[in-house]
Amino acid sequence: MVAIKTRIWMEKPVADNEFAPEQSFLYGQNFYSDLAEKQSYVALTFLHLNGQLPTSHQEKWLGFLLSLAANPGIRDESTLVAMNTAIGAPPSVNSVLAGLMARSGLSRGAQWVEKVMENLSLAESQSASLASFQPYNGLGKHYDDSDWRAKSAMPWLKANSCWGKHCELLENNATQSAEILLEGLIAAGLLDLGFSPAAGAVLFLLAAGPALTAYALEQQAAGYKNFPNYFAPGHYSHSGAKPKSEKETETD
Amino acid sequence: MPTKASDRDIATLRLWQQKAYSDLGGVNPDQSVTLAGYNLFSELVGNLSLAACFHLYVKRSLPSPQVERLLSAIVTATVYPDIRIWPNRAVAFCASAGTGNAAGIASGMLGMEGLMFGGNCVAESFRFLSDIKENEAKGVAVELQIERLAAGERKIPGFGRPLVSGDERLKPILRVAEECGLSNGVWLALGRKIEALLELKLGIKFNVAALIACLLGDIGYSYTEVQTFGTFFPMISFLGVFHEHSRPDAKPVFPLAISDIEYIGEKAS
Repeated sequence: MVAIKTRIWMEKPVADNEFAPEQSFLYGQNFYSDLAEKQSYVALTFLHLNGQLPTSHQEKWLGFLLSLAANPGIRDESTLVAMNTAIGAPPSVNSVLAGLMARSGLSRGAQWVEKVMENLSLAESQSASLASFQPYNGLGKHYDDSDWRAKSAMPWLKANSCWGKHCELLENNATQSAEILLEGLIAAGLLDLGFSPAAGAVLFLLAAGPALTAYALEQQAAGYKNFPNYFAPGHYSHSGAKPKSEKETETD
Repeated sequence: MPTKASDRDIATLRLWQQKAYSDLGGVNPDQSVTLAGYNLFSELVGNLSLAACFHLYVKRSLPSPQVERLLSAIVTATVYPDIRIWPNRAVAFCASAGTGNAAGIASGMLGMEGLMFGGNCVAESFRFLSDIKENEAKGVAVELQIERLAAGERKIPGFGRPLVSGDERLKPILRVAEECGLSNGVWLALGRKIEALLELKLGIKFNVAALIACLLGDIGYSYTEVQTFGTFFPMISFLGVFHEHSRPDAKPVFPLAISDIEYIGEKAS
């Protein structure tokens, strides 16, 4: 009984062992002795999701977008989750997985990128205005200011012919109160490169893996004593029963 | 240690090709469901609490009402809503970041597999106590074992706490254990003996992980069963924390300014 059908991966078994693969093929090309040897990781990423190898221009373009997505910054929730997890010293993969969970979110994470890509497509086909898709349209404020990360990235994209119709749409719809966000720029770029929103979301997500690893490992080595616990007064308050001493004061 | 398919021998793979088996149960051709020998719908639904359901899944037998109550008490005593606790904080950050429930709770669960807190700490405490028990049975006195441990620099899971001294969870859990007649077992007796020795040598006492390990040992849990319970019990706090911090009106969670970070690396060019 055939269990699974796929266009992606084919294996040729070793003689007399139908479980052991002698050769493996990705979209018909020998993976270990051909592709892995000759192609970069970025090119293989493109191949996995598109079924064909990129041109050298596409490879450079994708590499740049993945680099833009590679480090959320030390204050981002995904980094803080990775570090909070690392404090308990679980296996390092756990800390990174936990950080990636946060990176996947709807609040400017991978799921946000997916929605922005969907909405940019709709706006580009003139089914709706980009403004109507706030906050999932790639525009906004970053810590209540311009997104200087996006501003730094735009010159390279334009100078290297990596500025397609979706980036153009983003720029044309940007206003003083809703500027281009880095994550929006990445979303538009991935769309221009031909990735689907689902694929774009995962590319955005996984790009941050090494950075989250670095932060988690650094914090794990530094230990819990060198990480905020916020038990000192002034950081945390909650509703509910007051401590006994305060109750007595009130009664008095 | 479980084995993935690529690490198995060819004879086993051929025998099991596209097959699987479970001791736990499954869906039957008539759509009834068997769980641990019981009919899920006619025998269990409405007759099982959450704690009892967990126990049934792990031990494949129903717990006594006393065991059921104790398991519930352990869960209740250990589910803190405070997001200053690191795994809870991770969950709150995920909620702020707009992840789904599963991703948010999973981030907290992933933090439980170290030795500092949570389920794996309980399991490793169980393993520690188990090793002491085994060696004692082979003739090595508990006192001597603790003496050797105290001389080394090994962390002892289940004893001591990183931020506060004492453990406020011990009394309420022990009270329930006493009321249920589950506080007189050999594991807890051994645990208390070890605690007395460690307090003398290293100034450390039980934390809740060691207590839970002892109590679960006394109700017949194995290492892997303790580890499974340890994965289950923090989940409720994660669910509550996530729910609170994913609300549209949720407040910020410890946001950081750039000045809250001290850079200690190479000079930026």
